[in-house]
Amino acid sequence: MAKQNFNFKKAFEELEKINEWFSGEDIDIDEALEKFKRGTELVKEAKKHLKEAENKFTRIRKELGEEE
Amino acid sequence: MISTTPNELTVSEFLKALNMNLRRYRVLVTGEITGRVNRRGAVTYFSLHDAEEEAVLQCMAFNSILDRLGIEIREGMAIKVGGYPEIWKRAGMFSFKVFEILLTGEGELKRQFEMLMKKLEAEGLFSPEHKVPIPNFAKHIGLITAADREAMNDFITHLAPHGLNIELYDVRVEGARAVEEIVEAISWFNENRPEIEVLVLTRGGGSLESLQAFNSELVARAIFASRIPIICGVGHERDVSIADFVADMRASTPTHAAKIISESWERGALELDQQAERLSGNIRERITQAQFTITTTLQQAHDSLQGRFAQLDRALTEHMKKLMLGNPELKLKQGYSIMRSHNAIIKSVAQLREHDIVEAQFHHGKAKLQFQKGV
Repeated sequence: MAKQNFNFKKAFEELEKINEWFSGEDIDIDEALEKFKRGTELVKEAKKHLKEAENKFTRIRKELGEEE
Repeated sequence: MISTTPNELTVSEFLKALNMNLRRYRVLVTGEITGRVNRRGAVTYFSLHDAEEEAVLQCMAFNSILDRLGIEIREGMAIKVGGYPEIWKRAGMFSFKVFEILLTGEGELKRQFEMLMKKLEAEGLFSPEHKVPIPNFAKHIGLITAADREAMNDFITHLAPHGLNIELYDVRVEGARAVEEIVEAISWFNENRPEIEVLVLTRGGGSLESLQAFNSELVARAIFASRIPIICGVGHERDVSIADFVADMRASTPTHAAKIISESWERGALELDQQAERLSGNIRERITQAQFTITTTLQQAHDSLQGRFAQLDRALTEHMKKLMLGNPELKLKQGYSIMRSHNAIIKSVAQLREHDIVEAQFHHGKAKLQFQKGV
């Protein structure tokens, strides 16, 4: 199951940032490997999320307010 | 105090009880305006009647309700009034308390529609600079529509399944309470649901008359005031409402509204693959680069050492050459001799006096010689 609190939007933005980072100059190889690891994790999580997530539908009981 | 049995009431008690019951008759009444329309203070009085039958209803409305209509009501005009009946205690008069006036007849409705369009456009309610962009990957969606109707089902079934949370606020989309409920729903989401990223206001298609709530000024202003961006999807593709113009994005149908939200998710799935490829490309490139840097650095170190060695070698050879040239042995071999007197090498004739003994060194052997001036 994909994590409930997984935020696709944030993950996607972080991934984009990582890829942007790579276009910089004088990149440290150790840091590059760290970023790559993180990026791979994000891709994995995001894909899992896209695959498994079902929509949740709730009705608001708007009468609640009126009854109070 | 007058004592009363359960069925015995004072006039004001009776009227109060009646009014309590009358309030439940929250209805829409259709009729034609008959007689004068009287504006008195903050209130306007007018009468409605049926054209075919003798029946008259006295109506009372606050001026603000009439002002919101955009056009003036006058005798002979067919309208619908929403509200409830009431007996005015002080005069014992029965009247209909109007909360909403709806025009009927395509002609009047079109006129009203156009006037309101003009007014709101002039106020800047349709300006692009006020439109809030619909966020990508919206997860929390507020849905404002009538529950279990086709529009709701169309919207829900066309949303891509990506763990979205849809909260439905059930409203009437036409009739006497539609405007009030839609306005309330918009402000409810804004006040109570900070996590909601987008609101969808939608309903199925219909006649201009049935779409009146979506052409109402109150709904238009509520959409405009919403902090949460709103997608408005009313009716079929041919239906256009004022709500559509004020909304941050117009969807032609409820299905289209669902597709607008789903689109970023569909695109996200594709872009995710691209980003993943970009990521592995980036790391590959970085590793190749690192390997290249190591090789070049080593080569450079090697080359620069080689160069240094060659330089040293050349310098040594030069020194050797110089040394060789300066070697006195070589000079003696060539026939030069070294003259010494008093253990010093003679470089000038001024060092010598008449008959001094001079020691001469040759390539082979030495000899003592006597100096004689002026030879």
